Amino acid sequence: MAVSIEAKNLTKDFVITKKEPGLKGAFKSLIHSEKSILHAVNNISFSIETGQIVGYIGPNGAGKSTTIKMMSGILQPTSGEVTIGGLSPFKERKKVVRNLGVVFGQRTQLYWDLRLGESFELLRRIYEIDDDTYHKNLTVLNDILNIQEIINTPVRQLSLGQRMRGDLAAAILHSPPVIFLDEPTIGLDVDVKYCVRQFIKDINEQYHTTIILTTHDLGDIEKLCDRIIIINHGEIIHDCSLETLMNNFAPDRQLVVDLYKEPENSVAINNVKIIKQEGARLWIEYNKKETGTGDIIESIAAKYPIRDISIEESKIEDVIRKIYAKGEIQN
Amino acid sequence: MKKLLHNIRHHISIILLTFKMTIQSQMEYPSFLVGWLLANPFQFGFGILGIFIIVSNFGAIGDWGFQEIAFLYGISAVSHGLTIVLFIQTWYIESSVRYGELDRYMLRPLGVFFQMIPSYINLIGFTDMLPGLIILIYGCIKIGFDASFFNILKLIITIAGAVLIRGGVYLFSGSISFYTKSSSSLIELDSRLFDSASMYPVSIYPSWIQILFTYLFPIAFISFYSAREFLGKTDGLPMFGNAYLITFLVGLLVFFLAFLFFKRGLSKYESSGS
Ligand SMILES: Nc1ncnc2c1ncn2[C@@H]1O[C@H](COP(=O)(O)OP(=O)(O)O)[C@@H](O)[C@H]1O
Ligand SMILES: [Mg+2]
Repeated sequence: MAVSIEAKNLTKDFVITKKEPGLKGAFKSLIHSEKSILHAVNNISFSIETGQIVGYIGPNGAGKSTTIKMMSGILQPTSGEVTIGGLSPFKERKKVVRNLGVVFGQRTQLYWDLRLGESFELLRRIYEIDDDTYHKNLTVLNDILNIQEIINTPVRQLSLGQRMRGDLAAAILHSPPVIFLDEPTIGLDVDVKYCVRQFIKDINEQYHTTIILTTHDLGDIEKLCDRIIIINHGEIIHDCSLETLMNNFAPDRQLVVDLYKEPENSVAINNVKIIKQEGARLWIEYNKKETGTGDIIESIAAKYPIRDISIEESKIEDVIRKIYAKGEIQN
Repeated sequence: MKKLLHNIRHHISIILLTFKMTIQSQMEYPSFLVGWLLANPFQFGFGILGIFIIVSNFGAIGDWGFQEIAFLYGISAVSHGLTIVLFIQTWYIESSVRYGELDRYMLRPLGVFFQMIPSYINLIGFTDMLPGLIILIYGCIKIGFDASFFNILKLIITIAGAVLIRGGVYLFSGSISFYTKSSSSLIELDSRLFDSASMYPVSIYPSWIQILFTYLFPIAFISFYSAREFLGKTDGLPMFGNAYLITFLVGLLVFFLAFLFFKRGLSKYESSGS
C-alpha cells in the first residue's frame, strides 16, 4: 500500500501558564494568570514518500515528539495540516491509526498488567488480524527480536531492553505501512541497540515500510536513514541526505602524515595547508571535493619521505553540534 | 447494518477478552484481593453500626427506623459497589491526562471512552458490593419486601439508575481534568456527598439542601426516592410518577451529559511534554 506523509505549514502552539511560587502566587494565579504561547512546532512542511527511512533529529525540546503526536492523531494541530495517505490523523483517527505503528521509547504502549503474549492477543483482537498474518508476523518478529524468550513475562517485569523489543513487536503486529519511532534506542545497551537497528532495517526492506525515527544517537542515523530532517525551536532547519549535510557542513577532511625524519624547520609546501606540526607528524586540512588526497601525498613525498598516513573524516556529532549551536545564535 | 453488527461483535469480543485477562492478572495478586475482601465488609459493618448506634440512642432518624435505613443503605452500598466494578477508571482520568497515558488509547483504532471505561472491568469492586448486598437483603427481609418479579425488577432498575448517577458524576468530575489538569479532590468530594445523600434519608436535611440534591445535583435519587416509594413513606420533597423510573431516567441523563463533557474535553487533550 502506498502511503505518503504530507505536512503543510504544520503548527502546534501550547499555552503555558506561568506559575508563581508560594501561596501568594497560587492566589494570584486564581485571579489573573500570566499566559504565554509556546510554538512547539512552527510552520513546518515536508513530504515523505513510501519506503523512506527518515531521521528526525533536533535537540531536546525541539518539537520532535510534538510532530509525531500530530502525525499519529494524538494532538490536534493549531494550524496547518498533516495527512497520511491523504487522511488527517486527528479527524479520522481510527482509520489512520489502523495503518500506523507507533513507539515511544520513553513510555510503553504495552498493557502494564498483562503478559507480553497477552498484550499481543489483545492487539490481535483489536486490529482483527487474521490467523495467518498473525503467526507469520510473530515468526518474523521472533527471528529478529527473539520474542519467544519474553512472551510469558508480565510487561511490568520486563527490563528496558526487553520492553523495547516488546514495544517494537507490538507496533508492527498488524503490518502497518507506516511506523513512527520516537527515541527507540534511548537507554539501550549496545546489543539491544544493534537489534533495534537490525529490526528497522529488515522491516523497511521486507515490507517497504515508511519509517520516521527520532533519536539522539547519530549512529542510528548513520546506519539507517536515507534522509534527515533537522528541527530546532519548532522549525525545520535542514532537510536533506546525510551525505549532502556532511558535504555542506564539513567539506574539510584531515590528513595526518608521519614522516621518517623530523624536519629541521617548519614544513611549507605549495597548495598544502598544514595546520599543525609536532615532531615528525603533520596535520593537513583540505577540501575533499576540490583537492585529491593523492595529490597532497605526492607533493609531500616529493620533499619528505612518508612513513605512514591516516585520514580523518569530520564526525557527524561535531557537525550536528555545530548546526544546533548555530540555531542558538540565531534565536 | 452489517457493519454495525460486526462493530458490536468486535467490541464485545474485546470486552470479553479484556475481562478474561483482567481476571487472570488480578488472580496473580491474591493477597491484594484478600485484603480488600477483609477491609470492605469492615467498612460497611462500621457504617451500619454507626447508624444502629444513632438510631438506638436517639430513636429513629427522621421517621425512619433502623430496618428501613438498612434497606436504603443497602441500595446505596450495592450501587456503590457496582460503580466501582464498572466505572472505577473515571477516577484515573486525571492521572491519564496529566501523564499523557491517554496517548496509548489514541493510538488504537477504537474509541477512547470505550477503551477507558467499559473495556475495563474491575473485579475487586465485587468485594465492595458483597457487604452491601448482605445489608440490602437483610433490609428487604426486615421490612417485609414483597419479592415479586415486578418488585425485583423495580429494584434492579433503581440500582441501575443509581449506578449511572454515580458513574456519571465521577465521569463528569474526572473530565474536568481535561480543562484544569486536576480533579482528584473533586472525586473525593463526590464520594463524600454520595455517602451523605444516599446512606441516610435526605428528608433529614433542610429543604434547600433537599432541593439541591434533587434538582441541581440529583444524588438524592441514588437511594432515597425509590426506597421511600418501596416503603410507602411520604416525607421529603414530593415526587410525581414512579420513583424507580425517574431514578433511571435521571441516571441516563446525568451519564449522557457527562459523556458529552468527556468528549468535549478529549478534543482539548494536549498529551504531555516528554
Ligand atoms: N503537552 C504539552 N504542554 C505544554 N508544553 C508542551 C507539551 N508537550 C510539549 N511541550 C513543549 O513543547 C516543546 C517541544 O516538545 P517536544 O516535542 O516534546 O520536544 P522533543 O521531542 O523534540 O524533545 C518543549 O518546549 C516542551 O516543553
Ligand atoms: Mg521527545
